[in-house]
Amino acid sequence: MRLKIEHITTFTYDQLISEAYTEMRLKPLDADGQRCLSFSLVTEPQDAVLNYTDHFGNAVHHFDVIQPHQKMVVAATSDVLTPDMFSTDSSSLSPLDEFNYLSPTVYAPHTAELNGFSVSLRSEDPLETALAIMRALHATIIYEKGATDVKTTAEKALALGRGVCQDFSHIMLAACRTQMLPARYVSGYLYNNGHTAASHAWVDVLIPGRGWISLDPTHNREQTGQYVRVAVGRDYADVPPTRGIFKGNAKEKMDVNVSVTAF
Amino acid sequence: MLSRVAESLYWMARYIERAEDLTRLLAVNFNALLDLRAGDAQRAWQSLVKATGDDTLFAELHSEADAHTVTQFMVWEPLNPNSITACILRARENARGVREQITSEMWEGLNRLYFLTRSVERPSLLTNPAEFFRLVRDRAQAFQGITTATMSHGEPYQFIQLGLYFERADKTARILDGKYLYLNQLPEGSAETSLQLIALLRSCSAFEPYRRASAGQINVANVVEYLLLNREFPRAVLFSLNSCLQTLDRIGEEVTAPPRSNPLRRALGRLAADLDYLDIQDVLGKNMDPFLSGFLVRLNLIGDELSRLYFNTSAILPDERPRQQQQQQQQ
Repeated sequence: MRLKIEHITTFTYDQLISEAYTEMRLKPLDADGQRCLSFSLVTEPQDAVLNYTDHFGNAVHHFDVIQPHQKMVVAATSDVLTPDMFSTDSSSLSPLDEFNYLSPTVYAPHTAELNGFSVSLRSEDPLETALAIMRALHATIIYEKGATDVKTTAEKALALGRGVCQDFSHIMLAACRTQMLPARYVSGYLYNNGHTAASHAWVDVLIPGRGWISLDPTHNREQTGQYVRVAVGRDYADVPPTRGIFKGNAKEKMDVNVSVTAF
Repeated sequence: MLSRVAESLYWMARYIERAEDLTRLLAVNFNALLDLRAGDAQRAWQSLVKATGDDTLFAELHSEADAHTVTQFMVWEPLNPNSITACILRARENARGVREQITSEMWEGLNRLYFLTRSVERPSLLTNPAEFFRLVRDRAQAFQGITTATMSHGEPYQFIQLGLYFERADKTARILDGKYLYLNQLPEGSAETSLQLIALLRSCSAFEPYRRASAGQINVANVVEYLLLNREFPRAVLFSLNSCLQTLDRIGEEVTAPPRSNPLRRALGRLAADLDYLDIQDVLGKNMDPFLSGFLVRLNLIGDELSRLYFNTSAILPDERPRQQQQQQQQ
């Protein structure tokens, strides 16, 4: 599918703030069958936007607004061609990456509860284990906006029994990793037939001998052509769409407006 | 460029210029006041302290103004934020913060000045100050020369020039203000008046250029006019203001807005125009003090406006820790 994504982030402050340094992971990946045809990132106040590629292969754009300001707008536009089915470029991991994707993280710790959730779903076939975890998660956790926030961990979301895609993904990460299946967090977008959109998250699980498969526990399905992959990492903390710091004693308000449209 | 850098360069230049002006003022008056009667000398020393603008602080520290107390106060008094030593120290601190912006030659020149004031022996300075004053003046002037000769004349340089000329306009006006009151009490045409006028001119390094310009005639009106309104003498107030305007135009070169829309440019241009069209007869005699006081107040306000416009750091508290931006939850 060819999709156009507009992601507009607005920061407003009730007082002047200064020296804002911002890092963004918004450029769709150019890997695993997906092609990013164009990408632009414009800031207001205007500033030179620099970029680099992080350890996980994600494109990171960063810029700073030094002068005092009360409002900052970041508009990212991308044009991307997605494959109908996710297929991985590489089927094996370096020992370091395997360690990375099996270790507990702040968002997805290895607790007795999380282990208990997935241990009964374990079977001989790793693929079947991963799919069983996804199905169980979808059946157990109720999708509810506002029940959790950006800082909620997998442990809390599981205890709550509610959450959004970010929480589904974190629970799935911990559930897979405790069963020795390397798993990574995928940040991206979902084309929702023109309905309102937000940035989405799901999970890649490494099946020995086959490679990565990409599962969306929120919707209980594998990644399709409607999914746009933007960044991968160990958990949300590796791939937040925006991250930054500023100086000033002000209340901050952040508005995010995302639209995903088909060509 | 960063406002922090511009601010440091601006103040570095101002402090160097201030130290040099104060040094010259002291050096000249040391000689000129030696011949006066005791009562006159004290008044003359007091007028000198007034010229620095720190007369209130001086009155708190010393009951009597004489060569020793004034020299001590102006050279190293720790409580005087505008002592020559303090000015040079602060110029150096400002330069240190922007070490990468200035040339090595400038840094060395500034350090020669700094170590000179640090190594001075105070008792011998009080008995024979002339040599010390000459060295400070030489090295401060050398620093300004090195700056012009070694630094690229881009925006950072313009902030240095802005600081230099701004301070010079202020100091020349202050020196005139401090000395005029005393001059006005002396009988016109007397030997003492001439002596004091020469001291005033020398305080601004203006004696030789003045004589060349006025064919040797020394009287109050001409000297005041020369120091205030001359367009060619680099220490005259009008010359300094015009130089500030020129540097402002260079700083704003990339900005397409007309110069009038810059409030600082407008205020400074208006002040310069007021001087330009001044009839010197209107401000002589008892009108001089209110005129100069008013002028200095306006100049100070413009200085505040300059800080607001270019160095506005109101939102940046020095010890404030950076705060995290909010993050968006993925849904």
